[in-house]
Formats: sequence, structure tokens, C-alpha cells
Amino acid sequence: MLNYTIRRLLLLIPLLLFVSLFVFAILKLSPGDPATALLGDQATEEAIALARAKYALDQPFYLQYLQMMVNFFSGELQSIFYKGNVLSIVLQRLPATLELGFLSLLIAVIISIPVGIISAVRRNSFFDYASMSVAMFGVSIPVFFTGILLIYLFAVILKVLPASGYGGHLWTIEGLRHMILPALSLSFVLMASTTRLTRSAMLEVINQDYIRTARAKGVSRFVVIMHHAFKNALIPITTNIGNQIARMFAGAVLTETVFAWPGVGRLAVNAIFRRDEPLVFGCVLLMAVVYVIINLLVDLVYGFLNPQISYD
Amino acid sequence: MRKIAIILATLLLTTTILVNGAAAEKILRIGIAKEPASLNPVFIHGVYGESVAGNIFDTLVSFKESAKEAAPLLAESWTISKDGKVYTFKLRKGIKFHNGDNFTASDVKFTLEAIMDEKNASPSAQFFKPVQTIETPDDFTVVITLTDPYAPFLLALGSHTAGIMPKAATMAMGMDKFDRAPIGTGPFKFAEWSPDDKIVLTKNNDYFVATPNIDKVIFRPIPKPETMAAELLSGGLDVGSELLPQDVSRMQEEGLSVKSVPGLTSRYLGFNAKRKPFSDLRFRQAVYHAIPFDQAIPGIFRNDGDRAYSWIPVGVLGDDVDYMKKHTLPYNPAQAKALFAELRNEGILPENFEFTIYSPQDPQRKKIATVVSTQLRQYGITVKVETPEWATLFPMLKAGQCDMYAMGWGSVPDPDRWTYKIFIPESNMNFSQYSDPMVTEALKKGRTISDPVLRAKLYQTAMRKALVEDYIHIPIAFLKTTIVTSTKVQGLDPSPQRYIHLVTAKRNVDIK
Repeated sequence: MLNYTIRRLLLLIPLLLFVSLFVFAILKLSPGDPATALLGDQATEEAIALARAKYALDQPFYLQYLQMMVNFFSGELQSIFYKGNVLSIVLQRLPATLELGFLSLLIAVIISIPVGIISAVRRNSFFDYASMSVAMFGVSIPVFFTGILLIYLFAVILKVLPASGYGGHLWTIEGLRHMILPALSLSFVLMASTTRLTRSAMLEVINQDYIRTARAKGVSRFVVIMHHAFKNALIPITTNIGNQIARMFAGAVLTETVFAWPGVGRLAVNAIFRRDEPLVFGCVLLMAVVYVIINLLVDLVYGFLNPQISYD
Repeated sequence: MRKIAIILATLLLTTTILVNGAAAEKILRIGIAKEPASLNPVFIHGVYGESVAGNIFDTLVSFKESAKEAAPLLAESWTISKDGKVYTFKLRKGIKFHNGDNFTASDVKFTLEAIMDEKNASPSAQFFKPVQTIETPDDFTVVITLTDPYAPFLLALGSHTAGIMPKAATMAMGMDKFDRAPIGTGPFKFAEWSPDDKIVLTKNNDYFVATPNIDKVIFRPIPKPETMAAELLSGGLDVGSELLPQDVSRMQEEGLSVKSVPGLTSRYLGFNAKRKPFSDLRFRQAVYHAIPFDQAIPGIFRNDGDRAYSWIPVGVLGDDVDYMKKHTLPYNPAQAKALFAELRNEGILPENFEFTIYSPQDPQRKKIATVVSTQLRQYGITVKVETPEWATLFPMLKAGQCDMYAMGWGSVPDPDRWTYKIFIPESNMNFSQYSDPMVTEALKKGRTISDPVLRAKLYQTAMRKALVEDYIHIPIAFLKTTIVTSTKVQGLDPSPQRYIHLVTAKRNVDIK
């Protein structure tokens, strides 16, 4: 397993090279330049030229790329907009995004897995239809829309939760109060797909012979479902959750904008609009690393769920 | 038992004191649509940076009370030589920066030179180009000599981008670091900047104009206007602006205070003078005649803007409203048809002509572009509306690649700032590629003389030529500045430039 982990981590090197080239190419192909974004619309060409020289934007592309890579790996990449170290800027925002992601994952899992199981067990019941309709709604509705609906319901009409902003860490009362609405809105997408997937995975397992055997042996319904069926349905569910965590990063971009949340998603979007090339570069590369690590963790979890899976 | 009772009573008393003590702190929470790029006056551009920095820094002269007349601030008096080239400022004594340093003439010299220093690539350097020398004969006198007279010079000095910085502290910190830890002499001290979350200022008890009523100001960047509206309605913000018109009416119904003033932001349509058929005066006139602006504008802007007839906002020197209004082309479909037919006959306007009109992504300008497209279709002209992202559109406009565009402008109340960069041929903001020797000469002369009557005449001449003879642009609207506050906020009025000034000679915002 150690070998496997090392092999997977080594694969990061070509992947990062590819991602970095790709991001750099997109940055350079897209119109607009950081100097104009930095100095504002009314800046003179003269001032823009000076700023381009100051941030080495007038160098040939290959030199700019090499410089960015060297700076990234030595931790020296500097944001043009924030005039600070990219790594420390991203790390400063990471807790807000991770806490939000964690809470929405928690909400999604706590709600969607039991709902999926019950839907499968009571297939074609009213509960099944109702929960699947809600899940369908959750998959289809855009995150920013649910966000705004939640804000109006809980902050404006009921006045029980704050409308937006970061109130502190998840484990503080104010922090949690601020995090509930964005986490709920972000969890919808994950919740919807996990409920549907849990249901179908469970249905597949429930019809297997060994389940019938277990039932025939007189094992209680609860043990059959939770121990025999659910454990075997967990692999596709875990894969889905793993993939969805990555999708949550994308969802966070929208949620963080709607809820004025100071996280990595909003940082990346603002960096793109501001054409802060080093910051976009750093954000995307770091997100790629996080994505790979999450996928690796998911793969490693398979081994615990099904000892038959071997990594050698 | 008694002991317990005493302990409980003490605890209760302490808690009450603590709670009351905390509640007594007056906090003002202000929502802003975007986070400022910088709080260092040398690097600031745009209303958000200026709004925050305007409460941290002071300038030599102030336009906070009246946007038209300079009032003393850090300079208690000044004289301008007869030729308009030498400005002598007498500085106020006994003022301290937030870090305790004394304010002297060397700080003024340092700040202005930092703006002009090429290494800093300051967006404001363009307004200080006429400066030849800055001398400090003593600690409280600054003499600025210009190469040529420059009428809007006091405006440049009074702008928040010329906030005076402490020389020693800034040099010790470095320009870039000062960006995130600014020190000024203003009513509020910088306390904290949590990126994309909040900027916190605390009151400067030693402020020389007045002691601020507010203890703490929190500026929160909230990008979505819907979220800003929800924050105001739920009591999460005390002040908000740049809301959607439909939300503003709701706020009014909910009992929040809504205040509007005519603003210094405009919307206009522009033609490209270098491309056919837009280069033909008759085509531009025909478009003017083809669109019922008087009907369309209220529909697009609701209560958020008034129809514009000139580039120079109403009330600013040289606005010439009556003349411009009288000479604006009316909606006249028959005339439009005749002009288009004439151009087609001459081969200037091709049959089934197609072109693209560009606008930024905001709903109002998109609608202006859409109205043009819908109306011109009736005359056999197909107009595609494109609304690229700003960083894509802006270089296209600067390069003169857009045939027609819906754009906007915003500036301080001086006619030079509203015309010079738009109409002189060598400017990169002349998106229409317009070039007229008479207009150029009038605008170049307008910035060098100080007599208001003569200046007004020059700007009238230029605008009459460009707008109601050449019809190079169609002025659409001047937007209003609206702020929404909770009823607890007292003494805050909107400024035409959308700044939020909390403490001035005549104003000290409070919250009950």
C-alpha cells in the first residue's frame, strides 16, 4: 500500500506539469492583462507599460512560465493584486473553504444516506417518490439560486440566521451560525446525487442471493440492511462522494460569491477577473493537488471497505 | 448561602457592565460591492478604495462638503500665482499621523513624489504630470510649481488618491506593505483587513476636525446585490449601495431609509469614426432618429438615472444643458428611413448590413445595446449584441475595434475630467477614434486657464461640435447615487461620486 501511495503521489509531477502548462496557456490566450486590471480603466498607456515592466509581464512567454514554475515550487509566487505570497494567501483562505466543505459534506451524508437506504428498502412507496423528486430538484437547481432562497427564508423572513459573511471557525457559535446557510446550499448538489446513488446501489445489493440467504437464516431486517447490504453498497457511494468533493470546490465558487464567503473559490474567481495571473496559477495548481489527494484517499478507503481490493 | 448570593450578584453586575460596555461601542457596518485593490493612495483607483481610504487619509484640500469648491483640510490656506503655475500651501500645525508621527511639509512632498515616481506606476500619476518642482521652504509650507497652468490641479490634490502618507513610516514599511497597513491623519485608523471578508477601521480620538461619533467601521465586500439587499433587510448591514432598483423599492416599503442624489456616472452610445458606415455623419444621425430614447431610457433605468444630453454632467462647469437639449435629434422614423435609403443609394450602407454592438455585462448597458438592435432591425440592419467580460472588452475598445458600443464614464466634477480623455485623438479612452482639431484645441486650452467663464465657453464649443454637430456619441443617462441605510444611522448622505465620508467639517455620522 505504501508503494501504491508513493506511485500515485509521483504521478502528481507530470500532472502538475500538464495542468500548469494548460493554465498558463489559457491565461495568456485570454484577452486583458493584469496591469490594466490593477491600475483601473482610466490608467494611461504609459502607466500600464510601467506596471507591465514592474511585474515582468513584458518578458517572453516561456520565461514568464519558467519563472512562475520556479516561484511556485520555491513558494515565492507573488500575487499582483494582493502584493503578497500566493501560498500564504491561499492558506489563509483554505480554512474557510474546508470548514464549509466539511459541514456541507456532513449535512449531505447524514441526510442522504439514510434517505437513500429507506427509499431502496421501501421502493415505490410515497417516501421513495417524494425523496427522489426532492433529489431531482436538488440536482437540477443551480447553487446560487438555492443560496438566495435560503438567505431570504432564514435571514430576511425568519431572521434566525445571518445572511452572509464569515463569522469565525466552525466550532464557535457565531462561526457555525454563519456557516449553516452556505453549507446547506452547497450540500444540496451532493445530497441529491448521493441519495439517488445510495438508493440504486442498495437496490442492486438487496436483490442478491446472499441477502435472501441471510433473511432466510432469520437475521433481523435491520442487521441485513445495515451489515450485509449497506456495507457492500458503500463502494459506489464512496466513489461518488469522492468525486463530489471535487465538484464541491466548483460549487464553492458560486456559494462563496453568493454568501460573500472569504474562501478559496471566491479568491480564484476574483483572481481570474482581476487577471492576477500568479494567483490564478497558484490556486489552480493547489486545487489540482487537493483533487489528486482526495482521489487517492478515496482509493485507499476501498481497501478498508473491501479487503479483496489489493494495491500491489 | 450568603457567600453564593454575593458571588452571584458580583457575577451578574460584572456581566451587566461588560455587556453594556460592549453594547456602548458604536459599530457601523457598510456593504461595498467590490473589495478595494489597495488602500495605499499611490495605488488606489476606483470608488471602493477611495471610499475606505477617504476615511483614513486627509488631503491638502477637501472636496468632501462641496464637490465644486476646495475647502481647507491639511492645508489651512493657499495662494495661486497669477500665471496659475505656482501653488503655495500653508499647512496646519499640530497634526499627528495615526502612528504618532508629526505631520509636516516633507510628508506632502514625499507623497506627491511617490505618486509621480515611475517605479510605482501610479494610476494617478497622470494628474500630476504638470508638476515641475515641489519645495518645502519650512516645515509647514509647500510650494508646488507647474510647467503649465492646469485648472483641475486642486481637484487632483483633493482626490483621495492624493491622501498624505507619513514619510518615515512608509519608507520603513515599503510601498507594497503600506498597501495593507495604511497610516493617515484621517478620522479613522486602519485596524484589520481580512481579504474578501472585511476591512475594519477604528476611531481616531485625536482627529483635528472632530472626534468621530462612530467607534468602529466595518466595510464588507458583498459582490451580489441580492445578498447586500438581504443583509440590509435582515439588519446585518447598516449601509448599502449599488442595489438592484427593484430591491430599493422594497427597502423603502420595509421602512429603511433610501436617499438619492444625481450622480457623476454616465451612460452613452458611441460610434467608431474610423469605420464605415459609422464614419458617415448621416448614418449616426439616422441611428439617433431611429431610436425613441425618451421612451426607452425610463424603462431601462427606472428611478436610477435621468436622461443625459451632454457629456458634462448637469451642474458642472460648461454643462450647457438648454442648448444641448434643444439640439438633440428627436425620434423621427421617417427621417431615419430617408437617411438610411440615401446611404444605401450611395453604396455607403450595404444592403442587409450587419454589425455588432458591444457593451459590458451590466443589465442597463446590455439593455441599451438591445434597444439599438431591436430598433435598427426595422430598417433592415441586423445588429448583434455582444457583452464580453470587461477584461476582454476593454482592450477591444481601446484598440478601436468596436463599431458601436454602449459605455459609461465616471469622474470628479470638472469638465476637463469629463472630456479630455474621451475626445482628444492621442488618448486611449477615445474609443470612437474621434479627431477634430477644433475640439482638441478647445479641450487642451480648457485645462490651462482658470477663468470659469472662459473655460465654460471652451467646453461648450467642444461639446456642441462633437455631440450636436458630429453626433459622435449619443449621451444616454446620468445615474443617480443611492444609498440605503437602517433608520439607526444618522447624518449620512450619498455623495455624487459614491464616496462614503463619515466625518467632515459639517458631518459626523452617528448610529443610535
